[in-house]
Amino acid sequence: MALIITDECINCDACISECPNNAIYEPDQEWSYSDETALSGMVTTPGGEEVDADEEREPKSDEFYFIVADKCTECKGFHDEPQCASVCPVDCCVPDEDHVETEDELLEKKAWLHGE
Amino acid sequence: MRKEFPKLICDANEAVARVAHKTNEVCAIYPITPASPMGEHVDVYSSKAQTNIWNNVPRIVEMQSEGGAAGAVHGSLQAGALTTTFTASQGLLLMIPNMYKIAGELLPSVIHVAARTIATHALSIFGDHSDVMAARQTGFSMLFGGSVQEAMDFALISQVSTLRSRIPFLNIFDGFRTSHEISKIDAIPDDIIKAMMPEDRIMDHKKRSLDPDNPVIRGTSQNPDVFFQAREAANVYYDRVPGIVQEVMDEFYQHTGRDYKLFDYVGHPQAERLIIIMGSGEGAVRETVDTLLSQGEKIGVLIVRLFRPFSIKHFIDAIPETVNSIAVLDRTKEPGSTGEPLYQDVVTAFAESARTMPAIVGGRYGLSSKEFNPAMVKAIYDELEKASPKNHFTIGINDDVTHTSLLYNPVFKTKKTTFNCLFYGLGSDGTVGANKNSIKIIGETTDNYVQGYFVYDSKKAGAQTVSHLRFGPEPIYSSYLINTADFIACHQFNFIEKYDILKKIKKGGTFLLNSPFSKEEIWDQLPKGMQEEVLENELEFYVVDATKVAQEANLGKRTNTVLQTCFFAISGVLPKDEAIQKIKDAIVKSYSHKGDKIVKMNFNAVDQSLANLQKVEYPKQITNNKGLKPMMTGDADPFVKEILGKILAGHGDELPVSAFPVDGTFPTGTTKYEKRGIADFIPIWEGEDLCTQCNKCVAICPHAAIRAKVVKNDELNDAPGSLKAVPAKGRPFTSATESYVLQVSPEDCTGCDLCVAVCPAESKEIENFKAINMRRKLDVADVENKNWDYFIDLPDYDRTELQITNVKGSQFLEPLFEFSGACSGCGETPYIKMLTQLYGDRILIANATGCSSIYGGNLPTTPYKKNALGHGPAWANSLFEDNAEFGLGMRLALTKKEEIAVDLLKSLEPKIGSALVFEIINNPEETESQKAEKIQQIESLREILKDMEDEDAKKLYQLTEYLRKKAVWILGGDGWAYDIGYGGVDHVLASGENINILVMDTEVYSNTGGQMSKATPLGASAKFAVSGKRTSKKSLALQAVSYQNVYVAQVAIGAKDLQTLKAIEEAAAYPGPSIIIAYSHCGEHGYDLKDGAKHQTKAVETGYWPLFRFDPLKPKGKKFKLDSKPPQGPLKDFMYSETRFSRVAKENAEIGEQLLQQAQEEVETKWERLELFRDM
Repeated sequence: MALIITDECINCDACISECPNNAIYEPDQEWSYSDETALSGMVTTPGGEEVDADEEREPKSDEFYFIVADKCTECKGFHDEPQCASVCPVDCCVPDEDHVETEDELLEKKAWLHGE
Repeated sequence: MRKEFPKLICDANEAVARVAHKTNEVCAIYPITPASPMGEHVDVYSSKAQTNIWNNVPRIVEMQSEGGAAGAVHGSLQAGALTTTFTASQGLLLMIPNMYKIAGELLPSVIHVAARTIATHALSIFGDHSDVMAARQTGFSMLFGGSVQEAMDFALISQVSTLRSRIPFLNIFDGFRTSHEISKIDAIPDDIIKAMMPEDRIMDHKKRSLDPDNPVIRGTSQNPDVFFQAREAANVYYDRVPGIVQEVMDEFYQHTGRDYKLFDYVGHPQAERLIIIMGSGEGAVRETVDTLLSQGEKIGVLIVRLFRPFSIKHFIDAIPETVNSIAVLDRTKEPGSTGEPLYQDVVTAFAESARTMPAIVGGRYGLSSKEFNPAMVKAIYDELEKASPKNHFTIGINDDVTHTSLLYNPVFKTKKTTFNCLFYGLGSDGTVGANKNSIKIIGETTDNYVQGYFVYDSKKAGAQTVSHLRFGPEPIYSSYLINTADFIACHQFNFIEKYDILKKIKKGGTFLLNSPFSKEEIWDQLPKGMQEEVLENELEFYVVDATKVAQEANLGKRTNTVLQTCFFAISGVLPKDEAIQKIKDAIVKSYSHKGDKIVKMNFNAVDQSLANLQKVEYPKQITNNKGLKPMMTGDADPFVKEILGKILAGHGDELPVSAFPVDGTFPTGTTKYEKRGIADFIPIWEGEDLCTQCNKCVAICPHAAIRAKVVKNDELNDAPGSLKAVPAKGRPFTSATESYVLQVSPEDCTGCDLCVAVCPAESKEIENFKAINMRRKLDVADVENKNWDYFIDLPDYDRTELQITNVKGSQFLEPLFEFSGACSGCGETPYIKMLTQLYGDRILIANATGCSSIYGGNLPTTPYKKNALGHGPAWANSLFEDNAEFGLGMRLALTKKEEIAVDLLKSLEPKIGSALVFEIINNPEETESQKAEKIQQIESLREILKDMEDEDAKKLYQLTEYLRKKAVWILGGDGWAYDIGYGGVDHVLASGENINILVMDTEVYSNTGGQMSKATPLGASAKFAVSGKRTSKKSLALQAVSYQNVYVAQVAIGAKDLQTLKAIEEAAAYPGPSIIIAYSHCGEHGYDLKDGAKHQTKAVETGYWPLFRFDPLKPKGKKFKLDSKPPQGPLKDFMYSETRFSRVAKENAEIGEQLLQQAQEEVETKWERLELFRDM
């Protein structure tokens, strides 16, 4: 499953550079599928939605760092454990119960993101 | 013969306020140092329902400025109430237009003035007559008192005289020297006030008032045919004033036995030499005259009481005919005049009289409370003996440029024998409070007269205080600092290393030192100079470890009871046993309502103090070679070292005129040379592995004393072993090769504890252990000072690489505002620091008078500084009321300069080359990289221009700095933005110009000591609203939003630092006007400021202080952004955690409850209203 950053976040910026998928954003920052991924133009998300990968999208939080679930692979294929959770000083990067995924699904997502 | 009356022990502000409150019906007030306490006193009297002599409670109304106060006074007088106000300095200047009106309409009233310096090349809160002399042409009468007693007596005499003459009066006494001097005086009982107040004239005043039952019209517009004649019509009223005032003085004498004349002469009946003076200086002159008369000198002094109207007849009659040489002393300066005002009047008076003109010279003294003492007076009398005494002289300074100054011999002393005591303490350590208490004890329980005067430096935190106390059987007129002390106490041990504490000790005097060292250990700890002074003067030397005694007696840090006890025990001012009993009586009086336990605890502290007081049997030899510690460190330039260093060491009085810039210009960045070392505990980075490197500690630090850097590992090769470093986390750092270092400057930290309080990295294993923790400075300072010295020279990280859009990244930027004199835990300075980190190298700051102008620009050392390129904030303070306009003016000039430079650049394009010109003109300087490129581009341009012969090229070479984009930031507090400067703020916002306003909102006038402003919230107690403010705070932010083209943000750095950062960045980027209203916790709120961030969070959560931003550039529907959540939890949780609110309920539970409920309702409606903005 993807990870989510809870409201215990202290905005320390430790996680953001650890993310291999560029799924983490600063509070109030617009995001897109194409940021640092292989995606561009119209794409179909793992959830089956047609989206413009280059479109700048509304921040998911204006208060804390946030993770775009569609871009999070729990670091599968890169690391043994989610890197954001391992560096978070306040343990606020936790599994997102609303986005439960299997390992295969996650690896598929990784391949989709990075054009593999 | 003087009659006996109940005694009062108070300062002139209190004494005058008592009379003003008794004799008026309306007081329109506005705070200004040093007159504010008068307004505060009358507010307290009325809030306690104390009545005037007509059994009516006077109405007190605070206005938005002194201009407003004067307008309200004028209106109230026209409508028939007895009305007064209190002011000083710029405040009086703001009243001038109305003073002409009030005088022109013959409206009887008194303005009580604690005379203070007018700001010129610099602001000064201290005393002189430059303010009242600027009002001498308004048509007001001017009565000068020179002591606390006289200030009070003249308050009544002027009140009665104005009613009898219809001419309005200024009742003038000197700021600080008189307004703040505590003295034992004779009260004026109500029956005397009643007997003197002319009821018929009061009725006349009321009958003349505007009333539709008997309508008249005033304030007409007149034309050349009649204005002149009508102006002369009031002459007869002025002619009568001197006679009336003398009659009132005579009547006052009948009631009280206190005898005053319009011109009081004291001296030899056949005096040859005469000094003429007004105000508190009379005390020093009278004492000198007493002494010189006893030596047979034929001298005298004429004390001017009624300065306007100036009665030549009374004046001439008061001067012995034998006088042949006169020095007229003015406490003001009028550049370009033929002489100062009193001098000119004296010369004119003699010219117009039948008396032979004596030799008359004028002299200036005592500007900005410059010391004026008998030695100086003696020098003036000596000068008058010369065949041609120096005219237009100065006294008390060394004018080595235009050579106006008279030399004086400081050794001269009068024969006055009071018992003199000096106490050295710190602003917050209770020394002054304890001394005021001692004065009360001695003054109230013995027949002794007392005098207390307190000298502060103007630093906000860690200010040195010197208390000057005199006691004696006769009334005390010594209006100058103690120069020989029978007793000196040093309440701060570290002072002995910094200052020559014993300089003024008398031979055989007593010295009390608060010392952690015992009587056996102490001698070797004294610096050499101090040992010499102790030996030379054969002092009685005592030590007490007051800190230890206070702690053991459960008094915490309050050492004042201990030291006060010791003072009574050894000073000999009272017999010891009697004195101790009196202290205990005072304790019962002060604490009995708090219960027996508290009384016993204080009794115990008294007993323990005596038990721990040790007399030092010192050896008769010097055992220490240590001198005083230098006040400046580092490689400061000679000006800083020699001039500012001298001021810092307390020797500013010795600096000659030539030492000073002629226009008030000073170098920036000098606080770093001053090592104040006022913290007892400092933060230490111990849990470096626990540390998240979030930099929240750095962001909240009010003094830029804790800082973080990321450096290449090899930069740390030579670092002291004690300097900690860990692999750097996060963007853009490489943890393998770069290290994160967090370091505090022990000597610059004020120990506020805010950084530790905000640190989120708490150990799960060890209780109360964070990444940083407060540790006793004594134990860690040596190591940490070494660490800091190394740390501060480490390079700053490349600005162009840092992630400055988040708080962490921004806090690696070099602050260009450091180690200010702000209070420990200040809630304002973190905003300024962040602003300078982001944009400090390119901003002009217009700073409204207030806290931020004092900690931002108070000599000797100033906190704004330059970066390595020599760029930094350029800062100026104009006034309190005009700051927005001042900043707008800067903007206009900047734009003009840019225009000129760009025009020149364009005209030179063929010679310079299009590419470079294009690059320079089109570089938007938005990102750090672009800014860095711009500096390079300008460098390239200078290279090209350097050798060009073209006149335009030469000119542009001089003006290339105009090409770098600069911004104006207009800074100030809520007193400025909500009240006195609101019209200007509003106008500047409406101008559409590219300016930025930062309002640091403490919700109260912090700088003048906590008076209500329009930013003060409903239900808060503040001075001028002690029983709780009954009206709501205005939303300056929403008013600004209504313009639609203004960027607006309401922020709270302690609650949401990221939002603050974004607001500053967005405001800076916004091409039009922007305003940020920044919640600033403040000592006036009444809680330990280490919890400042916690309180800010609570304020935001409960909806007390919603966070939002309004950006006109955003598309419709997204302009207004609410950055905080809907109100959660009861507002009470926030309000009652601060004394400013809880005090109200404590005083009156019912009102407290009512205001709380109202405030809670208001939070909800406020939020509903904000939600409506969301669609904008």
